[in-house]
Order: sequence, then C-alpha cells, then structure tokens
Amino acid sequence: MLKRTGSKVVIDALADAGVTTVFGYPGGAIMPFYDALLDSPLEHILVRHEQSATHAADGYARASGRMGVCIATSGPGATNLVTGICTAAMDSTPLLCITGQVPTALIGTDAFQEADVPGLVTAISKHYYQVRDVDDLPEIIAEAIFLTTTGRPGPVVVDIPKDVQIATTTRRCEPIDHVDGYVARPVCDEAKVRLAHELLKSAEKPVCIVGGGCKLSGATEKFREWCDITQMPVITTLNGIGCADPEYKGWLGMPGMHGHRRSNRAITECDLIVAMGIRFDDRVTGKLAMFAPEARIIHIDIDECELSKLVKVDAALHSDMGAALEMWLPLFTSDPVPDFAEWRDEAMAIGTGLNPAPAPADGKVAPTTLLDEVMQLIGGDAIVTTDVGQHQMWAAQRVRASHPTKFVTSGGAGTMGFGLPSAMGAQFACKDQRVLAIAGDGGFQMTMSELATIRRCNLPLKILVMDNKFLGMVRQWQEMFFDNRYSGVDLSDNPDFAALARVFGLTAFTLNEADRMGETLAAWWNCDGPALLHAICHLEENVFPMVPAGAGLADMVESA
Amino acid sequence: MMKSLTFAMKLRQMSSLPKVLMLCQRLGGTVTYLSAADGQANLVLLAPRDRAHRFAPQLRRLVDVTSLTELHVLGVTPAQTPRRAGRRTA
Repeated sequence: MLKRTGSKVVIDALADAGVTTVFGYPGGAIMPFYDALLDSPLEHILVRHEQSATHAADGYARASGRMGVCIATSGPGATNLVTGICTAAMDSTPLLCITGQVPTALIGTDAFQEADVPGLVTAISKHYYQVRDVDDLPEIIAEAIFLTTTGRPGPVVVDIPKDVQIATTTRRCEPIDHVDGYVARPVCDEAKVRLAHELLKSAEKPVCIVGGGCKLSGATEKFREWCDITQMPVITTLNGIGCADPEYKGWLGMPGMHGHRRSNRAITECDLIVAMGIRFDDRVTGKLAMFAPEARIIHIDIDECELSKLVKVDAALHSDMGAALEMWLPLFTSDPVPDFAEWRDEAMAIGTGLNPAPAPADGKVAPTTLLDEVMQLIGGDAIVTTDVGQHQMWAAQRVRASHPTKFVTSGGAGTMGFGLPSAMGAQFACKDQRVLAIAGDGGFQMTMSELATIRRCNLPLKILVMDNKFLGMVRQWQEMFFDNRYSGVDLSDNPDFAALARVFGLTAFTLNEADRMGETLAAWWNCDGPALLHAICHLEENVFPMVPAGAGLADMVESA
Repeated sequence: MMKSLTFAMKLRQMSSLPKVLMLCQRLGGTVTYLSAADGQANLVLLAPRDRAHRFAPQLRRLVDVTSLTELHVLGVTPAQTPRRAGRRTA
C-alpha cells in the first residue's frame, strides 16, 4: 500500500478538490507541510501577514465561487487568522484554514508557539478539527472540504500537529457527500412554495430583498428569471449586490443604514417582502419595530437559524435558494401573479437620494464625485473589492456590478484591512479579469504590506486609496451623534501613499485637484501592471442617505 | 421573562460540549441542568422568552450535534404541584 505523509495527504486532497492556489505564511510547526508543497501542483502565495492570507483566500472564494485555502503556523500564526476567519464566517465564505500545531506530545505544555487553536476558533468557525492521529487525517480533510463548501458555507479550521504532518498513513482520502446529522442542501416542500406563491398573488405592493445567499446558492440566473417574470421591485443587500441585473427596470438599490432612498421607502410602504438569502442584519432593518410595518414576509434561507430569528415571517422556506426557485418558477405559468409594473415604477420614481456633492471650495476631490467617475470608467464587469468605512458605502451605493462575484466586501464583520488582500485573492482567482481595490486611508494602512506580494506576483490590479485624513465613518458619527467631539480619528499625518507604492515597485499616481480627475483616472486605470492612485479627498464629506442607529428606515436623513 | 427549555441531543464527540454551552450563554441562556454520557446529552436551560426560539435551530446547526429533540412539558401532575409551589416561596 502507498504510504503518504500527513502533509501529502492534505495537499493531494486539496488538489483533488480543484484547488490551484493557496495563501499562507510558514513557520516552525508547519514546515513539513511547506516542504511537501514544493513537490505539489499547488501555487503557494507568500503573503506578508497571516491575516492577509485569510482575506486573500476569502477574496479568491468570493470572486470565483470556489473554496479559498489559507495556511499558517502555530501560535501567533494561527491567532493572526482569527479576524479573517470571523470575516468569512459572518459572510458565509467557504474558507479552509490549515494551521500547524506543536507536536502532539507538547500540546498543553505551553510549548513554544503553542496556542489552543480549537479554543480560539470555536465561536467563529463553522467547524474545526485538531488531528491527533495521521490515520484520521484523510477522513478529516475530506469532511472539512465538504463542510466548508456545502450548506451555508463557512470557515473550517484543521489544526495539524507537526508530528502528524510527518507521520505516514496508507489510508486514502475519498471525497464524501454525507455527514451524520448535517443537511448539505435543504429543500423545502412544495406546499411552502405554494404558500409563498399565494401570498405573492394576494399582494399589491410586494418588494424582494435578495442577499448573499443567492450567489452562494449559484441561483443568480434563476433569480433574474424570477425578477423578469414578477417585474416587482428588487433590493440587493450589501452582499447581494450584483444578484439583480443592473439594467433591471425594478432594481431599487441597497437597503438600510446607507441604502438608497427608494429602497428604504419601498420597504416601509410595501405589503409583502420576499426575502431571499438574507439574514435581516441590523444594518438592513434599522429599528426592528419599524421595519416594514405593513408587510407580510416570505423568507427563503438555507440556514434554519435565520428564519424568524429577528423578524417574524409568514412563510418560512428552509431551503437552498436555487432549489426553492426551481419549484417556484413553474407556478408562474400555471397560476400567474398580478402585474406589479405600476407599483414597480412608482417605487423607482422615488429616486436614489444620492445627491451630487457640491464641489469642495478648496478644489479638492469630492469622494462621491470621484467614485461616480471611477464606476463610469470601469463599467460593471470589473471586480471591485472594498475595505470598510465611508468609501465602502459610497462604492456600494454606486457600483453597477454585472454579477454578485463582481463586488467583494466585508459585510457582516466590517473588517478594516480586507480590501487590498481580498483584491489580491480575486485577481489570482480571475486572472483574465480587471480588479480594483478601493480602500480608505485607515484600512489601507492595516494590510498595505501586501503591496510587496502584489509587486512580486506582478498582479495587474489597480488600487484606489481615498485619503481624507480621517477614520471617516467614525468621524462622521462623532460629528453627528457626539457633538463634533473627534476622538482618535485624526490621520492628518498620513504618508504619501503614492511614494510608498513606488518604494514597493508599483506605478503610482496622485490626485489632489478635482479638475485633473479625468486624465489621472484614465492614466491610472489604463497603465500596465499594478498601479496605485492616491486620491487626496475633501476631508469631511459624510455618507448620505443615512438611517441613524436605533431609528427606523422611515427616519432616513438625506443631508447634514 | 424566562422560559425553560429542555433538549436531548446526540453528539459526535463529547468534546463538543463546551461549544454547546458557549452557544447557550451567547444566546442569553442559563444552563440549569446538564447530564452527558456516551455521546448523549440532556440539557435544561432558562432562556429569555423573546429569544427562546433561537436555541433549537442554532444548536442543531452545530456540526457535532447530530440530532436534537426539544422536550415539551405537556402537563403537571398533581403530585408535583405542591412541591413546585413550595420552592417558589422558599
């Protein structure tokens, strides 16, 4: 029988699962695995910090629909993964994390670079394993791949002690399609779909809200077909951006705290919500008691936990969204629903609430104008990743993604530092596509060491750093809700990011005058190789519309 | 207002019990009774009434919980009534 080391077992399983690229950072307890990587077909990308490995793998997964893989050593290597694991968990990304661990005999002795990885990831992973016997490894790695990619996807951590990586086994790793007690693809019964259909038939002003579950289910095409049939107004959450065709006549935009005016108004006025693959996040609903006060609610979700978790629903469809739509679509032929076109047009006519920013008196760049120009320049087919903060909301309000894989952002966790490494991952996953990373000056500085990785790999991605010398979103809240008392948000001594990028070997541009915007953007976007644009923006522009925390969607504020 | 919830569950491994307990705590529950052996656990907890509906699906979502049954008290026998009343006033 063929004997393989534990490391080889893992690498073969990854290759067999179609993984081509992994992101990681080596260290003492993962050295046998790294040694085996040298003889493997996997492309290993050496990042400059383990957190970036998780975000890159996350971006890879979100842009491609495939599993992302990251690797770190024990102790601090593993603890540096924690933020990325949480980020992936909150947005249901299929992420497999391989961590080295001290040898089994040393576990529990406070050995050098030992950390209790299962203890660390218990609350933020979909599942985790610590492998104590190499003979268990083939089954564990197969199960880990199955769990991370099926059901509601999420991060799975496999912690492998160094001696287990070295030890050999004759056991084979067979892909699995079943875990006791785990439902990989729940499908609701037809009666539930019929109930949803009846509720829709009796509605006069229905609205659909679609979220990240649509992309994860691979249901985008079916969903667009459903939209074309129903012709009802459609709202896409932050992670659902791109699910609706941007040319669809009833696409209202984004809901919630920084959502479009017409989206929030439609939710407030509608008599039925069809919620698909969303989890009624507090940033979407605002004050729950005031959310959709007149509406009955249909909710389709693969995760039973989300049904009536926060908002009591009238029809709960515990189902993979694609499977539910497969059952639902034929009903429209045999049992048509009313024509909602008039209500759709009425909802659309309310407008986005994105008012053009007045030109700053100092001649600086207005960030919203900049992003309007950028979105115009790149079109809907480029992959856009964002960091977290004001620029994220401005981008989400303006992007016209042609597919949900085209907009990558940390929605649930709101992880600063996500934008640059996730763009890197997206570019590795989609080598022939244009990728743009948009970051604020705060988040960019959290993971900007990845400029070195980008240069080494000569990734042609473009980076936009929107520098307003503040942690802008926090500053906005301090201005609006803390009586202008700015605390801990001053970044006025930011470095020259263009000069910094040049030191790393990137092409770089600076934009600090509004009247040079067009030519600078074109030069940056059209140049070869990786390029960074440092846009020095107007300092104190706020994100509007805005629903203040604790208020209802009807209490949206549209200007200062 | 609290509601008493009783669950019987099967676990793939006993080492997943801490995860079960941590989840109950996160959801605002107070575990009042736990017995576990040979991959089976029985759990009684007090849950905030408005959040009680979240416990069963979230526990079921744990990969190591392979089956979960929520046990409902259908009635109180006459013999139990005075004992309970006595405890309340103790």
